[in-house]
Amino acid sequence: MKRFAFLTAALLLLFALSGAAPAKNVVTMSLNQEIGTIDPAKVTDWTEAMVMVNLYDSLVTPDAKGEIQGLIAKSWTVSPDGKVYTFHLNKGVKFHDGREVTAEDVVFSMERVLALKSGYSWLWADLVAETKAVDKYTVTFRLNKPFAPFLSTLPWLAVVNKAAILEHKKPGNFGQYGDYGQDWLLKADAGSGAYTFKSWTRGNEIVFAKFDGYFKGWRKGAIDEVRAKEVYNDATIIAEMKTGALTIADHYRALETYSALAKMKGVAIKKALSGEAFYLKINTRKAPTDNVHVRRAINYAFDYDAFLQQIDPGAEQARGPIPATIPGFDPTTPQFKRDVKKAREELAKSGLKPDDLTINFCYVQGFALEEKLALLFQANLAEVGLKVVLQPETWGRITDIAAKVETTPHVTAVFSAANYPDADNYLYTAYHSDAVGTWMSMEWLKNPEIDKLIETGRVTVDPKARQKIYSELQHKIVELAPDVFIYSLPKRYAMQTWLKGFEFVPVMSFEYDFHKMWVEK
Amino acid sequence: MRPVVGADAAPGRQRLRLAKFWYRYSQNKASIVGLVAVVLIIALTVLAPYVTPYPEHAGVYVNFGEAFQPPSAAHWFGTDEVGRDIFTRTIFGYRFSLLLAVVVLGIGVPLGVLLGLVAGYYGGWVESAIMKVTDIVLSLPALAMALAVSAVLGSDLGHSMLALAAIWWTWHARLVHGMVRSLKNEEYVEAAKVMGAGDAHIMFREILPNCIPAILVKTALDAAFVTELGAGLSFLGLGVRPPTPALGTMVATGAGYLPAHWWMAVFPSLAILLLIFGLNWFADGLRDVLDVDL
Repeated sequence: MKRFAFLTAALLLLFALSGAAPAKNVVTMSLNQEIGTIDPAKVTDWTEAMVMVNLYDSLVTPDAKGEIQGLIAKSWTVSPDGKVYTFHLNKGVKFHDGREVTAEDVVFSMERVLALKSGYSWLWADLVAETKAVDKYTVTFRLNKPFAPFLSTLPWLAVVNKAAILEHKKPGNFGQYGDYGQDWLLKADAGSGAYTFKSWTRGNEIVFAKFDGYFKGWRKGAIDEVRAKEVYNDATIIAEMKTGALTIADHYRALETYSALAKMKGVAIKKALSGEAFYLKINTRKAPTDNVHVRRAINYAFDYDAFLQQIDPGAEQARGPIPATIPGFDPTTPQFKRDVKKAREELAKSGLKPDDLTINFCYVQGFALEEKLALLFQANLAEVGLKVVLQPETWGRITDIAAKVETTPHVTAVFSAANYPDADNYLYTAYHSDAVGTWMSMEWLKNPEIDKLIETGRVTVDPKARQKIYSELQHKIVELAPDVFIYSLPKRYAMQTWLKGFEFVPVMSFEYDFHKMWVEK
Repeated sequence: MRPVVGADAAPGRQRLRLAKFWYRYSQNKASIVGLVAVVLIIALTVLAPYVTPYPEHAGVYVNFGEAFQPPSAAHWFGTDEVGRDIFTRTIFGYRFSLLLAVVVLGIGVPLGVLLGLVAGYYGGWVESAIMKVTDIVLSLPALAMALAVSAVLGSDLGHSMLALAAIWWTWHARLVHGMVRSLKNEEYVEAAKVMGAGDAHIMFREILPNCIPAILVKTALDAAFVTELGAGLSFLGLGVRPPTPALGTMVATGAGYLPAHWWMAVFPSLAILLLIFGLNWFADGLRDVLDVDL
């Protein structure tokens, strides 16, 4: 009996594969980690964000330059005091069940994420005082204080279908809203995105289908079905890219894997400078790196070219704390270049004896790129008379030791990605005195002048005035040398050449927007 | 009947016994291979700065231009991801393995023997106290213990050694305890007692010498175990700090570059294999010679 069932299944499969119906455009992508949830209010990592980007729409969305464009919102205005944001919605945007997206839904979406206190709610928790539907197509956000990057945070507010969620709510802790549809949103979507949820096998694969009623319409060759599956082994990636079972290999694979894929016929490698900054954070509150001359000596001693040519080829050296892909970046920010003589001069100026010049360098254990960097760093600094003790640690331990200035190593290699595409995101979390004690702020800078400038930048709404503040900040920070600014991580994607329209966006997972892509065979 | 060691001392007889030992040892080909391997590895390790082609590659050194070179006359085992000679680093890597074995067994064995001796000889509550603790410690897996200690105190060679030594004594305590319990009823022990010998004399002069063959064989076998654990620890990133080479670390790093740069993982793995097999075969030979049943 069992065998019969198996045979039937096999035959059906064969039939389905050879199917007479017009071929569907199916795209398969790899995921390097599990999808934790598909509830848009709970998104934290890139796989979850990828799901959100495709199943849901937000008021606004970042473009390839990281600049904010309308999506559900047609236009918006900001009050002169920077505290009230008014959005005018596009008419005729449809949820997957056919209902129209209204201002009520936007209000509900904000209230829901704030009530659940999960995902990206921290962006708005102390900020948004009130969300109000003025009429069917107008919604306003009133803020507690002016916060210039507010618009850049809104791509993370996925608009959910209020009526559908209330239909499916279960008893819960949220009064009239029950469980806020949390249970239902683990097996369904309530969005208006370009794709609808089809199936999800936890720990394996998620499938989306094209939403024919999408308000932006579809081009010729649009992708009918997207399958995203977890693949942990790079050898499998290579094999499946070769057979065509995989259309896109995600951006978290080993360099060697992309080199192997680049040689494959019919596979293209897309490379982009991400907003993920890679810096060596220097503890400015512990001897001997509390001495600015020692920090400058480190900056002069490091061999940037060796790193950018041999360890991770193809990227450019960073200019200061803000990646070039992020709005607010100032291209005139000065750069340190390797200069052994200047490094020695700075060390002489520091007035420290050679015995005092031992520093420890911490990086993530087993992370090949950082390990190579560590060996290079050690050799470079030895050349100018700085002894480096390497301290490989697990990421969990690094987040622990970052909590206190005494346990924070002299230098720590850290990657940090933007939560929202705005200069403030890189400056506040790293250098403001109120933000110390996390892995993002291992510099312990605590400089009143820098603090003041960062605060002014947050409340300045005029773009020109704001840019001036950020330019000044970038110059001042490089002067203080609290980091070795290396580069922004180049992200690599491998995909079959018949897939067109892929475009990098410097905000997590927004490049995996399948509505923008099409198939040309 | 176990051979009674340490009772006779005539030089002529000793030479004769050595010849007899060697004859028995050399009956097994594997034992000879083991002995040669162990002696060779120890010699290479001690003389590493003089016998390796690029001793500076074991320290602070990078040369990206030479990275990923396959095995050649200049680099017998090829080079690694930052251009260091793998042959040199393999030889230096043995230093960590051997140092770990010497320190762990140097602390663990005497401690275990002493506790086993005391427990077996005195019996009563002393015995139950010591053996209960032994059983408890024995139930802790060595690798997990070393990982836990490193997680709390930070990954450092000293911590890993301490963690392993803190577990290793139990095996010897059990072994010696069992032997002492049967040996203490032997007639020569009774005789020594009758002649008025003290506890210390009986334990260390009468009983202990008869345990030594078994302890030696067990220690030689343990050396292989500790080496393997050491490789495991360094594979997981514990133990020595880069750039100091350790075989396990080299395998872990090299595994990331398989299969294209196979030599990075293969040669250090073979080096581990050689040391472990060498020690095992050496211990087997020793067992034949000393006629020990473990």
